[in-house]
Amino acid sequence: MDELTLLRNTRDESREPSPQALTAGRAALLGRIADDDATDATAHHRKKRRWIPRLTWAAAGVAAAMAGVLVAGNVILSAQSAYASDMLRTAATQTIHYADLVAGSDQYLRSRTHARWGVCDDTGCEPNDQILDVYMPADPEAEWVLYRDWGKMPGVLTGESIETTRAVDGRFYDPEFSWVNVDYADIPLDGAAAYEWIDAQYAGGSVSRDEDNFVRITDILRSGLVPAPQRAALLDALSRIPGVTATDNVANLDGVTGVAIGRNEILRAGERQEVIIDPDTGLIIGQRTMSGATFFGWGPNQEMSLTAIETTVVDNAP
Amino acid sequence: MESSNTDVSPDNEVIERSAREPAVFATLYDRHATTVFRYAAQRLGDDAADDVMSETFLVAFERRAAYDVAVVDARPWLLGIATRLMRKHARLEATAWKGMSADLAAQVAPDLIDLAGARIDAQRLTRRLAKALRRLSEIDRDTLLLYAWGDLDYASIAAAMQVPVGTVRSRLNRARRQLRRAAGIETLEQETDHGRADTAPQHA
Repeated sequence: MDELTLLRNTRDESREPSPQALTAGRAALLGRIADDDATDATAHHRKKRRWIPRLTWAAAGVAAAMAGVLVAGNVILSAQSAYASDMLRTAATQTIHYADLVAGSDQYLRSRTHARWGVCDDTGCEPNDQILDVYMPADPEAEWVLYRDWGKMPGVLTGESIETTRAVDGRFYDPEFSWVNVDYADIPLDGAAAYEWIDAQYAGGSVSRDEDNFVRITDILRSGLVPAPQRAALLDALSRIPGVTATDNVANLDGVTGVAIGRNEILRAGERQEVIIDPDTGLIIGQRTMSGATFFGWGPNQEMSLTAIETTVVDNAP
Repeated sequence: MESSNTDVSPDNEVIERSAREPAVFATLYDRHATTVFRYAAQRLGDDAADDVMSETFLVAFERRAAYDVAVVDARPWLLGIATRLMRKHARLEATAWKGMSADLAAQVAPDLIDLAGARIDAQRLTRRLAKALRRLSEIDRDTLLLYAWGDLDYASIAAAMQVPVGTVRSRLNRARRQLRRAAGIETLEQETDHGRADTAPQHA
């Protein structure tokens, strides 16, 4: 065996780019392709809509189809936003293929939220850890169970810091409101339609329509109980909210890392709300809020709240 | 992320088509991004390889009009672009190369020791080999590593580096000679030929 063959044998076939790097590289390329088309369109007074039928033809593969969505829909996105869109839509695609956890007939799907939310008074805010375990039974007629450790706060039902409560359909605190206050069957399974569905429900809340849409989507997702098809549609819908960007390698409160998808709200001095996603499964593994400016004792760009969300199947509820 | 791609057109057709439909160029990324990454990562480490992987396809997209559509496989072209991009990381490679070449030499050393008739200890051989690899000229190292880690044959390396195949051969021979010299094999063979193997000097 000569030296060249020996050297060749040292080729490392196990190295793989990270999913984030692959997605970022792809988004950068798609951004360049989009720029190229936009320049070309300006030069030739061509309508960008012409992309759509062409890409329908070109989209024999998932890759080309994703390029079509991005190029047709987000020509002016910055690279970072393009990355967020690409990441979300990739996660949506992955989600569809992900086999959701299913509780057996006498089991529960348990969503555990470990939250570090601020407790505020006139003097400022301080972090307080809470645990919220929601047990959703396989039988829709059976009672749901909520175990909640309020940390340093008294519970609202008993005044004790630890409370366990039961209610059909997760109506723990109000018979009118379920813990998951949406019928999953109502969520359109197409991303664009899901976005329209959310947007149409806007009733003037939050400081902006985009913020309200973002919050209502993430409120549904953060339950940790949304089935894969609806979750995929909501992730796709999230990517359609203007200003959504992605941050890699963000750890949730339990140290599990994912991609944080969020937006800065100008009308809240740049405060940023994020959901942390496992890009392989599309599962929400946490939430984070970052301050935009000095506020109630937080400096600029400081963590105001952080959670970890984990969904498992369990045999028993407390 | 997993990207699937059911477009079975060969690379050259994809590139040709991308002149009219730029978006299909992404197909090339899905096919070859990992290959470019592996090659770059083995030379520079994973972090810089992410950048090289991304930049390679941006440059390739911009230069796609210059692609020779008679060449079916785009890998040599892409690895050639990656190789040129890596030159701006020369300092990083020099640093990465120190540790990497020691690892590499450690892998290669046992076989070279066999070739050298177990006349040299592994640690010393590893040091020599690492030094020799570091001292290769830039073009010889590029040629050697396109062969070793880019998994290209001579003709593909020629396409990647835009030189004749004969030049590739002579560069690889030169690199090979330097490695052999570092391992003391050349000396050994010559002296064995002259029947003086037992007294062959071991150069530090």
